[in-house]
Amino acid sequence: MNSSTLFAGRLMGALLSATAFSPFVSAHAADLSGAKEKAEQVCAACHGKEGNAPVDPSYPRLAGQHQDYLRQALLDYRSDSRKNAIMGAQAKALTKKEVGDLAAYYASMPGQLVVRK
Amino acid sequence: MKSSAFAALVLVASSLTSTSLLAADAAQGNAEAARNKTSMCIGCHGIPGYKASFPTVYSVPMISGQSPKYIENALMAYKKGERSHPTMRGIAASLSDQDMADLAAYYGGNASTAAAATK
Repeated sequence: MNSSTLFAGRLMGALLSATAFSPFVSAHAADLSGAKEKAEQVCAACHGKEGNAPVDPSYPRLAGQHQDYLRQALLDYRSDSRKNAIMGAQAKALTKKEVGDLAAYYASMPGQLVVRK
Repeated sequence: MKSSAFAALVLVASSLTSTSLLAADAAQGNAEAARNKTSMCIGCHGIPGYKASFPTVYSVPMISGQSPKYIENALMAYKKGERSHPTMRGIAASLSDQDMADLAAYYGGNASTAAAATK
């Protein structure tokens, strides 16, 4: 294997890891400003400013959470494979594009969520 | 003493109701007690960048620093089948209400309490 194929392989790997597991997110550039507007109009009422200050302890913090996880959660609410009266209704009101954009927006917000053993 | 009397009252009150929500409220989480209960969690949630591979591939969520009550409710929802992830359903089924409250206290909270708890 010469260095250029090695490089190509690495590039491919990087591209794959960035996109393969989130085909929808990769299908369009995330509209962060549109998502921000939506987030402030709708989501912030419960999840707080930038998803960092839930108004009730039973609501999750969203800021800084993994983008693909947030997207999956909204899609699961949308399909009722995750059952929650409030989020089911909210998620069904979103298009797939809005789901992807909101996931990208909240993942990009600085937050306190961390990986810990 | 006062608090244990209150806890006893809450326990009595919750035993008179049939809703698991009230019963869950009665379980007071103890982060220290969770220390020997995290072994099932760390294999996925303790590894940066870890992705669950079944049935759908996506990053396992970061749970440290999350709202404690949300964590407890999530475990409860897995146990009751309101959330469907097979691995989490299996794990949650093995947890008692007290286990869930303890784990929520361990992982949940704000960044400063989480940092203090790791010491």
